[in-house]
Amino acid sequence: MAPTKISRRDMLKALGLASAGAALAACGTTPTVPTTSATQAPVAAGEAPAPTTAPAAADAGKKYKILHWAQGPEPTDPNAVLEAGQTRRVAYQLIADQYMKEHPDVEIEWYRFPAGSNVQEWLLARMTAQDAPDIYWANTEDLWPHINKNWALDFTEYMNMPNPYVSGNTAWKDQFQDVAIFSQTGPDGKLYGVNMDGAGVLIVYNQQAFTEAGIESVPKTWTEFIDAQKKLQAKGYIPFGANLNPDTCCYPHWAMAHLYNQLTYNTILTIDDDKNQVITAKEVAQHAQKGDALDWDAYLKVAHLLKEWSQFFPVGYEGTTDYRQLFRQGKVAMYMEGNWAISEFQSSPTPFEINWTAFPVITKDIWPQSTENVVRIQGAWGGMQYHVPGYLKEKEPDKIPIIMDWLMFSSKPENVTNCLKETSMVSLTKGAEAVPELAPFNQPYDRAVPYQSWQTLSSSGLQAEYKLWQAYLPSSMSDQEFIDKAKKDFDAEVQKVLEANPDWKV
Amino acid sequence: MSSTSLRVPGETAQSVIRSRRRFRLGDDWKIALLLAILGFLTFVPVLLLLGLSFKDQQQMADAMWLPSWPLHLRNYVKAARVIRPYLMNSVVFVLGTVSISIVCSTLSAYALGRYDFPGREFFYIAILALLMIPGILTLITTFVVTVKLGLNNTLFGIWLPLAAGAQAFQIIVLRTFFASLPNELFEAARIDGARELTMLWRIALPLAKPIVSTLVVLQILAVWNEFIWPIMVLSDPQRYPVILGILRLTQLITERDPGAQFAGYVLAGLPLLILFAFTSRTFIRGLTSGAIKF
Amino acid sequence: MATLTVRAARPEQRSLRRTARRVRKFWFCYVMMLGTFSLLLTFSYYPAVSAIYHSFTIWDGFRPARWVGLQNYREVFTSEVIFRKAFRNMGLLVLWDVVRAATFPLLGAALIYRLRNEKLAYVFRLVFVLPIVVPAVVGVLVWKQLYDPNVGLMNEILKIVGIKPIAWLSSPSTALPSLMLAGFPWIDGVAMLIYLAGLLAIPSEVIEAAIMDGAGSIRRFFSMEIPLIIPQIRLIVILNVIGSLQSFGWQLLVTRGGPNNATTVPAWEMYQSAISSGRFGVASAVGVVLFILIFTLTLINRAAIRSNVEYQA
Repeated sequence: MAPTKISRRDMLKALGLASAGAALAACGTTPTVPTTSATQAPVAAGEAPAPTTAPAAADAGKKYKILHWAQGPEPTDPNAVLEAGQTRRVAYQLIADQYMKEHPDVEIEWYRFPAGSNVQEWLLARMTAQDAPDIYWANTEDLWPHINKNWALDFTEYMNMPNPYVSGNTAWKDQFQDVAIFSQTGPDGKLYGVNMDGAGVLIVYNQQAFTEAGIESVPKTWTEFIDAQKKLQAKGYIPFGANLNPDTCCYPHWAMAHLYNQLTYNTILTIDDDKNQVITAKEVAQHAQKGDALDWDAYLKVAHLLKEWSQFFPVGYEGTTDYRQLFRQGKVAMYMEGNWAISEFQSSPTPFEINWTAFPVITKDIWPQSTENVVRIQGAWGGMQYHVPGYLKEKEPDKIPIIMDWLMFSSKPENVTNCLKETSMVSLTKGAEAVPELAPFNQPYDRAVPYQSWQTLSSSGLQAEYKLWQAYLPSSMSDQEFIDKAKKDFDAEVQKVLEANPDWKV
Repeated sequence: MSSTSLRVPGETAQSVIRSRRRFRLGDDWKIALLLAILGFLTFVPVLLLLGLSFKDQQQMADAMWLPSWPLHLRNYVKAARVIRPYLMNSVVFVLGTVSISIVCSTLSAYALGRYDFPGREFFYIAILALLMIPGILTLITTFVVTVKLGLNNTLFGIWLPLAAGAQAFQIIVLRTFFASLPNELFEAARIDGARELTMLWRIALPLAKPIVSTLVVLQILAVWNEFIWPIMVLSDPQRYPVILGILRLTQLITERDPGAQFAGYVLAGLPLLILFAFTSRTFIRGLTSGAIKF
Repeated sequence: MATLTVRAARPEQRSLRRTARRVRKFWFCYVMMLGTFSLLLTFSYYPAVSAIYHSFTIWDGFRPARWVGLQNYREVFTSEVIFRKAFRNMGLLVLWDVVRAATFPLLGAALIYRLRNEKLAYVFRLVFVLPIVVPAVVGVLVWKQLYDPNVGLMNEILKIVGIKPIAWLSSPSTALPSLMLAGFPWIDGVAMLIYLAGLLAIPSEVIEAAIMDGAGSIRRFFSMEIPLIIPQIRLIVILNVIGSLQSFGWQLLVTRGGPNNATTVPAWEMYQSAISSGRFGVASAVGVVLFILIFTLTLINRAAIRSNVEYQA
């Protein structure tokens, strides 16, 4: 039945069509602005917040609707039915209501990020279709790829304007702490977003487990730390929850950040070319070409320390063990967590008491060059890292000042404080206060880590470094093999970054 | 021309079943036992899913895999509440995609299978080649086309590309079927002056009912479970199909609940189960009509 | 007397005229295919050609594409991860998929075929086909839970028997075999029914003759039933090859290609290059290589799996 031979003429016809198609494809590669067609689509129960006053249709001719993905402080869906003990988030809704009262021509609607979606995939689709929310959240290390693709709008002009809602303010950017400004600065020096809050990382532990295992005082140095884990293991606990899965946040690069920055405390800032106390992708890429981006001896030491540590990880840590679930079940004794979990622990508490402690210090007996300083991951990875899609500049330029005005209103210190009360994030807005439960995160430290592991380069770099640990930790790789592989993988990642940014080549 | 000389696919199967009692094929019970064991093993994941769907967090922590009492029906209540808004979306997606797809593929398969027109081989090869193109290769570029046509976040943006993707398989199967229909059936009608489309409608389609039903059921299953394409095309999460609505039970702090998530999957499969209950005879008949081969 | 010289038309002219006549005769065929081909041209062919074009460029989806010729292909073929690990994993998985698809459902079909009681046969047909109602996603997630090294059922069973827990999907050495093991006993209902259809189509005279010749059940299976359902086997094999070469569901939902590239496949590398790294050129190059592979395997499939006893139903 089915033909077994294709005649030569048919083949030529097919090739002809293919090349014609190729020529066509070569012409149209950039998506043009689509016109949205109105089609009947079933709409579920509306989620628009109830405005406190009806919009005064008389005066303001145009009505602006701002779709805002609030992420961290996102108000709870009014239709959501909560379990016992869960609290409804309303802070940002109240702020929005007040804003809409003062500006009847603006409507703020909350974009509900599709659960289960990957932010990168979602962003790619939405930016291609140009139907993203007007304000979206994205983590600071993804900034340069977003700038390249025009996903992030330039905020500089607005950052230099005074914030009308904050008395005495002459430039919006003065409201925020330095690290917030640096994390929104692109390789070209311009500002591409606003960061109102930040995050810190500590080790959270099961107090009951520690007491049972006979650990009297919380470990402060690495040696004490290993010791404590041995005691926990003897008691039948899994001492430390970790996995090497890039989708689980965020053990490998947090551990790497702490360890590497401690070991290279005196030298890490030599590659900080622009002296802003933060190592950027551009700096890493440029120094990598000169060969001095990473201190490979320190890197090897980090590898050894991680390997020593890995004996205390759960079975299957190379894959996707859910250590957070195991912690709640009382099986895992401690793990590294960000301060956003405080509000989670409040709304659904564990059956045992928990506490927070700082990452252990590497002492001179382990690494002779150690300065024994305390480093902390503290920076702009908060729930209020807001960006605006770049395409709005062409598509809806008159909406941009409205969006910026709303963001300026949001960043009033009292407004940020109210949001922080619910999210328990660290404040990066001057004058805004964090919740008292964040006290452990306010303990003094010497330096916030400037270098975040290969993640600094790109998200692909992050994946590559995770794979390096997947290869090294469970294996019996020799030191030389490890360093060779690490250097090779690192170079490949640098090449990818240079491919995307040819102007970073030296 | 007597009708007994006409061999329609599936006809032989029926006669074999009737005459099977004459064979001595060994004791049924041994075979049935083996099949029962294999069937049970095949069903184990479904049973486990059901078991997990009735547990709460504490039961999962204590004994995850053994059935535990009391059965927490509230998982199902919660899951139903969360996914209900999305059910209609899935239904609409399925109806539109399957209608467009089956109509187009039946017409094309009939043309390709029964008429020797110029370019027939070429078109068939072109369609075969489509099956071999990895879906992920064209994911982004298809999305760009969809956006350029202004179909993002619309129903047609869901219907048309999914219908396009189903054409190749459906045409291949239907073409084989239509080509295997004996010419005599059509000759008689043609002598009587029937037009081509009438013959398709009155002769070929009724015979094709089992196989078309099979293809329809298979496509309903595929569209109901499709999640990659809707996530890209739809920017409004309220328009999501059920399969994505369930993800709310895995992520949102207020709604994260593994037991309810599994309950949600069971509920999402229920409409399919009901569909299957009504169509299983035809579906199985369509698959066993012997027309599906390469 | 005037002679009429009829100049014979040249062969090409003759066939062109003939073709034109046939086009006019079958005009309605082209109309009938209009729906399909407008769909396919827009959403299948154009995107495919565009993707193939972009495999020769560096493109992030937003900035203009830069032509780089075969650079992406060179990267694919020299990359340790993509070329060696991913293709090797895929080769093993596809091989296993083919063996699995050609054996277990066939076994189930042969067993049902031999049942005398018709009601029982119908029940079992239903039993094996019912699980397709459960979405594939769910199946993967249930198996993910089963494989969990700390709370999964597989390790619970091992604990009871007294064997040390295995890391299943979480260890590079056991991840790929775990992938292959999932789905036991691998009797896909649809494939089974297709095989059963082929078996039922064997005319009763042939069976009777074999039985009278004294051929036992097993002998009949190997020398008669299998050769006679070669077209069905071929279809299932090729569909599984095509599906298997493209699938990355497990990687997307569970393993993310790890641990340490133990479960990565070219389709997954393609997805990662496009979504996570924004390198559509490289992603398209991998896709084109896959396409050529599938095409070649399809041709081999048709040529290699043959039978002398192929029966035209």
